[in-house]
Amino acid sequence: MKALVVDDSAVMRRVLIGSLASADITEVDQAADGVEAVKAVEGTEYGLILMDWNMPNMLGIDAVKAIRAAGHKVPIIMVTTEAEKSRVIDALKAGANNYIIKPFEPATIVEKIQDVLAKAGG
Amino acid sequence: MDARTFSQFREFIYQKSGISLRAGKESLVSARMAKRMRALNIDTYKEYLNYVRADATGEELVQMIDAISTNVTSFYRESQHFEVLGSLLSKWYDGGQRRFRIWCAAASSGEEPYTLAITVREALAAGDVNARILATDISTRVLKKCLVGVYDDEKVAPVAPSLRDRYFTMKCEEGRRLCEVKPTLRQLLLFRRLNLSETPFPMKGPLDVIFCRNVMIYFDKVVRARLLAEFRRLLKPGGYLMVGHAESLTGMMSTFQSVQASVYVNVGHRKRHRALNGECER
Repeated sequence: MKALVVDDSAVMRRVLIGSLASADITEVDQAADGVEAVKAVEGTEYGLILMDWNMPNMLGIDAVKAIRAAGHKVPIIMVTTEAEKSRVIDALKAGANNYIIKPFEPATIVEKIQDVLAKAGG
Repeated sequence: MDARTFSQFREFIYQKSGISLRAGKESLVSARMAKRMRALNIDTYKEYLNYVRADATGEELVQMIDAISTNVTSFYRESQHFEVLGSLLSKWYDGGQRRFRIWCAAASSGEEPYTLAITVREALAAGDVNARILATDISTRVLKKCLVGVYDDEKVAPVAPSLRDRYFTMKCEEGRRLCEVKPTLRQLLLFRRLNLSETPFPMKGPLDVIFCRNVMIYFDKVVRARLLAEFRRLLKPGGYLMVGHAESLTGMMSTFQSVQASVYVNVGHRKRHRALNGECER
């Protein structure tokens, strides 16, 4: 299974790739903004996307909407500092499967990844 | 606690938290560990250390680090930092900035992050502002206190009466006079657990100001250097770092330029040689 990590911060992408590795996901593509993410999803079938919210060119939430509008069912976890309830609801309404608030603990994100994948599989 | 056991604890605590316990801290370590051992009904230090190592949930490790780390804090502790922050926020607001991000890296029981929140509310009273304070700590125990946000009346004494009326609700419980922070302060804050020795941090900034006061004294030079590199990454150019008054970044990283005692500005370049204010590194 291949995952896509979307974040404009290279350090954050590295951290997230580490989290995926802890969840035994080692095949990972990277995108630095929403536009790149939407393009990547057109060409590759991913099993999971970790999506940042605030990015240049296209926000993560808009990328989620575009991915859903194109009919892709890939599970998406929003990784964000936008912790208010209303923002979380916006993300879920847009089509994200789950969200995790930054900064997160290593074990928490691994659990969330496993949880989302289990639900998607079932 | 014998020297060998102490060194085992010291090594383990350093590895897990970055906290560097110097020789001579044996009695502190034995007393604090003995408390945990009583709670768990464990008889020997060795047994306790094995217990922590074997605990896959990491919960006892958190308890252990909680017991070791001291949480000396108060509202408006080292108050000039809040004056500096207030004027910075006003200056940035007047310059057109509307999004403000502050990180309190050692939230402890909440006195510092709530003082930051009062400062933000006072400096940025206008409604068109998007301000947020991230408050982190390694200890889940103190973070729970932050979330509760209720303090004994005398703890809130350093807060000016007018501010106290504005930002706290007074109540009485079992004969104790208590002050509870109002939602207007809570709304600014996000409390999260974070181990400052585990870099890079899962966040990206840009931040305007970081408060990391009286924390680096627990870390050795290696951990401190890693921490400062992360602060540099996360702070915007021209962002500020406040450290404790007894702390100095001398010789650590010239990307931080001293503005006044214990106040540094991120000038955003990487040269890491020059002493900044002539003091000697511990």
